[in-house]
Amino acid sequence: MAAEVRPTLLSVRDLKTYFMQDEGTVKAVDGVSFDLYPGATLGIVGESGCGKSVTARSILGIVDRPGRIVDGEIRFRRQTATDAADGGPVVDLAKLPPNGPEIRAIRGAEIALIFQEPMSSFSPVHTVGSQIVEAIMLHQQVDRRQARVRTIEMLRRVGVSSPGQRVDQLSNQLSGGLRQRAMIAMALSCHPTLLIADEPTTALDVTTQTQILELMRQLQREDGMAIMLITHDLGVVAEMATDVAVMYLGRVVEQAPVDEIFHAPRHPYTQALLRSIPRMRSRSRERLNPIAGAVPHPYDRPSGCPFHPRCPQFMAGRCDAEEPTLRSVGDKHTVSCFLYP
Amino acid sequence: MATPDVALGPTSASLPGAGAADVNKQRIFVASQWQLMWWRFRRHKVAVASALVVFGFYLVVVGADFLAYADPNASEAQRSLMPPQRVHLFDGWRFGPYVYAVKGARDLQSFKRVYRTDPSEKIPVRFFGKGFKYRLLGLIPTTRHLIGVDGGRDAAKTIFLLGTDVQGRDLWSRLMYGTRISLTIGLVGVTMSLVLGVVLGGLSGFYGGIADTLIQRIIEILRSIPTIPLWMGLAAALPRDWSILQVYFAITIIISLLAWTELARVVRGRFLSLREEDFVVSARLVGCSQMRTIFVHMVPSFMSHIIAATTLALPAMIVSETALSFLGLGLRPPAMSWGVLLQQAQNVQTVAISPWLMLPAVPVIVVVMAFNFLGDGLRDAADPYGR
Amino acid sequence: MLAYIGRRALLAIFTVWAISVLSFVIIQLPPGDYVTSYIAQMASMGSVVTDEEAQNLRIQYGLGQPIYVQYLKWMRLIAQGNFGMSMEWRRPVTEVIGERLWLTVAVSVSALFLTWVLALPIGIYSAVRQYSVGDYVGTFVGFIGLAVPNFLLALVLLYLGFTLFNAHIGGLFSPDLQDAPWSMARVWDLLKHLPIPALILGLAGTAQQIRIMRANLLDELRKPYVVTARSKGLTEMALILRYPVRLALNPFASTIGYTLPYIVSGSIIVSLVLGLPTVGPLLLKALIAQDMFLAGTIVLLLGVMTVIGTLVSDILLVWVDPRIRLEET
Repeated sequence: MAAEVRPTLLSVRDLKTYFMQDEGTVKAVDGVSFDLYPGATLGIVGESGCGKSVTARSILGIVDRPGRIVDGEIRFRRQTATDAADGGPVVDLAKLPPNGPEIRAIRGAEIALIFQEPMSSFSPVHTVGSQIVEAIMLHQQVDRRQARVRTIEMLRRVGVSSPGQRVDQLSNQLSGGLRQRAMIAMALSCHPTLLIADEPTTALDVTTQTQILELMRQLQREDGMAIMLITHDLGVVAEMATDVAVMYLGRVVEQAPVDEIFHAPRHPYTQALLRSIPRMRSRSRERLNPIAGAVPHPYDRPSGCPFHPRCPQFMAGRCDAEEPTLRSVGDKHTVSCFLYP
Repeated sequence: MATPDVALGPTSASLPGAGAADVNKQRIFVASQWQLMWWRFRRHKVAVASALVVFGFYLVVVGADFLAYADPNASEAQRSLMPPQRVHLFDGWRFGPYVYAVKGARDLQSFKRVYRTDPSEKIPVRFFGKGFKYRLLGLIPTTRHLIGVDGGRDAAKTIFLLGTDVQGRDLWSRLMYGTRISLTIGLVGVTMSLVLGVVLGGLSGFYGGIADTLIQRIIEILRSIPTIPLWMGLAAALPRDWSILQVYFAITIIISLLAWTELARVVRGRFLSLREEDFVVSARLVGCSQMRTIFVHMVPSFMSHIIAATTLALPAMIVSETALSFLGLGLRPPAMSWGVLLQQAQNVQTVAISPWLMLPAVPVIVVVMAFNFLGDGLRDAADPYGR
Repeated sequence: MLAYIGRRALLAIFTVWAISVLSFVIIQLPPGDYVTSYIAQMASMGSVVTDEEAQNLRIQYGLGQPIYVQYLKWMRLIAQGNFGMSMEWRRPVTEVIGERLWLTVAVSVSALFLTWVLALPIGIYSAVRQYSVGDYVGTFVGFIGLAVPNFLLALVLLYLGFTLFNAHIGGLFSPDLQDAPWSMARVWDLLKHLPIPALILGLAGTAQQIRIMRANLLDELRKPYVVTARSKGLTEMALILRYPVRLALNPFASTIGYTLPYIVSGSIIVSLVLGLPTVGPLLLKALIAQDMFLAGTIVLLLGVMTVIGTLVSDILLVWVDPRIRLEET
């Protein structure tokens, strides 16, 4: 591909978010770095507990106490009123005062977040419509009536039937798929440049999953926004992502365009993940290939490379002593492993 | 606590070139439910301290006779309304507690008794001194008390740690005996409420249906009625000629009749939530009888909650009895409870002159606080698997 | 929603019935026949009751007939507004009670109101700023309220007021307005005297409500919709008040109904200690003097008043929570 220097939309460098608790410090995110380009879809993959959600929340500054960002940069390019080709000013989100006016102006308006559980993500006693209207009125200079009109329009856009009625219903009156659509409507109501989707389809059945993913792709095409898709489902990643970052125990171990990840994975963990996917065409009674061992307890992190106790290509003396860093092994392909020094 | 080493997952040999690290061995620590509860409880320093306080109070219940030094019923007008005495701990440089003798006289203008300490007469205080006769633990006759006075003097006439009441009776000794009655009424009452609460709450929660609706409505009705007017009415109706013991039990029954509702609600709530649990359903499917399901499977799950709820119900009982006796409708003299002792402190004028009459309020407050903290700690620790 | 209110009203009626039975029991408990004692009393005052009058009284009260008949006759008398005669005061019970019942209402309601006004903000603050100094102070004050029985608190405050400030805290009116007819000045005087009894009465309830509010809010604050609201860009204060507080209020509101009986109950003893001209001191004297119609009527009226108050708060609860409105649970 030609060296098209598109300015990055979001650039995370060495992000560290720790949870300081009585029993010890949990290093949920321990040095995560990745880049996200406008209009692209970055899939963040990993097992439960590897720090994907905490990364997403760190970006918006909504990590639950006692978690805190202790180090790193989150450089985000803000929108400006004019449509300048190289975008607006770059802000380090990690350095903004927590819950201050600037980060709040970005939340919802420029970076939006949708969650895994749409049921509990809506307030059970407020109507769906009022919650979307609230988002609109927070960031746009419109009155309530106009906001309501935009809400209904947004609901229609995401495929909610009878939006005029649904807007006044409570979230428990909608089905799972509809709720997730309403959630997407709320997130996109202010036309953000980045949508972070934290396991958006995990709680849905397969048919609804497909519909929601298709909806997200369509909206992305129409609005040109970037999507950061967090999931543990490699199938979803294959369908949606342009780039993939693989995380393990709070670190990015490999990042590459989606084709590279699936056809030429370099990191032993990525390879093990791909190997463990059951195949449709496998012979009967063929054994599944789990990854040996289990994810270590957060208080009990291994020394050196976090994956070394489970790594089939473990090199004694090296892997358990030093921590590898991300190195480039190809065009936009980085790996964090001593096999590629 | 067992610490077996257990191997998990595929062994190292099955993966080509697998790491030599001990990924396949993990140590498992095992602790029983009660151990978990104890550890969680231990972390609440306040709850543990409260447990000690409560224990201390019940020691007083057992050893009231020993801790008192004067016969609590010995009244003498000459000692009426004496203020608390100062105990001096050091005689010169030695540790030798003593008090000054107190002389009383009637003020000719106000006709009230006025007391002056006489610094010329030192009366040494002895530990394990002799005093009035009693039976230690109800069995061993003895005259030894915690403190007494030397030299053939009567402790009742010389030491007044907390002063005396209108009839000249030593307040400290009365307080010791009063503790005995106040704290045991609480126990008896709570037991009755516990039985009523568990039975009715259990019926309600386990069987549901009509029994549940009926019992629920009864509980709601009882909760909407202001209790004190009712208690007052029922207590006032007790015949004047009943013995202390009869009055004691009657009061306990009256208080318990309204207090079981809280425990019933807790028990019912637990049964309701447990009924739907998978382990209960599977117990029935395996063929356990209803009795067995209840007692072997369900009850252990909420024992701890019951204990916590009971502990929290105790202070309410104690306060109720204190209130009734304070009004003169509960226990009557010569019975002694904190409430009876506080009867003397009913109006401001009396209290303004003799503020020590309010002292029985202190153990009430301390015990209520201690039981509340203890109950809170137990409640938090009650579910070691939950949040 | 109407079905819900209907059910609560039905329950209230049953409760009133239960209270009336209990009050009747209290009236009947002391040994002896009412009319006989009445005659004896009248005789001791030097007035004579004719046989005819005695007979009428006997019929009126159904004496000598089965208990339930007596009960029904008593209920009928009450329906006519006749609550019986107070033996001690020798006047109709209603006259003796007079304005005291309304004053009891005033004190109880202001205690309830105070409970709310104090518990809500303190509870919210405690939950949001957990483990802060304010949280501990609030919890501590709460514990004082729970641990110190209200009548003891009243006693201690009286003593302190008397000795430290030489002020007489008790009473609901200044001496000169005590027996005066109602006027604006009297109302204002009452309002000035209400805060202390209301505070003493309400403190225990406040403590409990603070704990409930704090626990509820802590639960709600953990929930996902709070994170959603934050991710939309709301300020902390706005999002806390609009969402989790709103949800934590529901179970909180339903507890008010049960605070009222407790407050009314407590007002009896506290008014004794503080010397308030409410129903409390009157009840005690009536019981000691075995003036049973007065005592029984007071118990009945107190109970009914409480039930009505609870019903009102239940209706308010339904108005507050739309979920109950939509689902007829």
